[in-house]
Amino acid sequence: MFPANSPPYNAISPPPTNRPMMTAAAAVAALKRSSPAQQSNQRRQSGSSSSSATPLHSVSRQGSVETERERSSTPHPANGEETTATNINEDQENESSTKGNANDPQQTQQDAEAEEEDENKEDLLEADMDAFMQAQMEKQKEDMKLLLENFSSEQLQRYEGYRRSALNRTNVRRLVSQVLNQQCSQTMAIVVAGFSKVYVGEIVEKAREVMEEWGHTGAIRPEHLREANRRYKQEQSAASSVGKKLTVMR
Amino acid sequence: MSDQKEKDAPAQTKETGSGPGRRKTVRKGMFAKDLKLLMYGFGDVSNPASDSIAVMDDLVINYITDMCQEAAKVAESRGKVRVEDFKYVLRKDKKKIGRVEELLYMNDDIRRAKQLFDEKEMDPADEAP
Repeated sequence: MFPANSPPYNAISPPPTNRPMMTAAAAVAALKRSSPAQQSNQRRQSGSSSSSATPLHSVSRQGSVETERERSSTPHPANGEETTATNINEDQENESSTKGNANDPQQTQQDAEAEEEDENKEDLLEADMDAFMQAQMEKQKEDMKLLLENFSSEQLQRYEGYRRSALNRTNVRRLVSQVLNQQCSQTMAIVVAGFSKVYVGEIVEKAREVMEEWGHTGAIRPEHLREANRRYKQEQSAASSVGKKLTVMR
Repeated sequence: MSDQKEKDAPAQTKETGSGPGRRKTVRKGMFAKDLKLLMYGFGDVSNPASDSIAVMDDLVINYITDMCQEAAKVAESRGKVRVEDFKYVLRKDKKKIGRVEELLYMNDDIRRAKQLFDEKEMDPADEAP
């Protein structure tokens, strides 16, 4: 059996709490007063795979799950040890554990990793991804339960609106088919509707911020939305010009 | 392109015809009903202003169009656009890419559960005396 700690990529196996997670987790973490040590762990782990410098314990009001995309970094050797509920994971684990049996525990960890890594890298990663996602979702559910207990009735209503609402999939499909001039699959419609909902959320949140800045109250007006959109576009272009020289602040 | 505006009489999308004869119109007010609830869920008042909804509708349609065009650019050599192209376009945006992965994962999960359920349905039928 391979030891749990595998240099050089991860010092710790993916702990669900340290991922940049949804608001609920952030809120519950605030409720439980998470330690700064978790943030530094998260930074270490996200450093290798994603390009973010800041730990995204985002205090935004959206509830989107951000998964740690570890494909590029983790050759996690805990192949036979993870127990997952899904069939596909079990198949992959069987595959990788039979190969693991061929390499005796007496063999050095590095040899085993070198041999297995190339062959099983994708399988391992997928098994890990699924196992990890499941762990993350479990944690998420618990956090949400705790948070929901503390919601006022108005908050509960709003939360229900947030969860239940979605863009009409048929319309999305029609729109995408038209723009792309090709038949849009169900999956693609689901994906597009999904991230468009996130977009709506970001714009509405920004509009709320704008309203606060301008000292307005009540319903969101079109001008807030337009200003929010303008800022959103600005941030997008700012984010993509990270590598270039910015001569703005001179 | 001007044909679209001429045929744009009713505000609702009532025709669902298919085939080469159908009108390929993108109606304005496409997402009005959904956006009402959506905006409330994300922080607006329980009855968002109708002009705000219209603006949001425009923004969303533009956004989807832009994203699709970006994805098409990425998939130019391949011709057809796939879900991976969208994932590439969204690579910088953590929230969105996370949401997309979550959705795809849940989609697979549901599919697997359905398959499992169907298999279980079959087995007892086979074994029944």
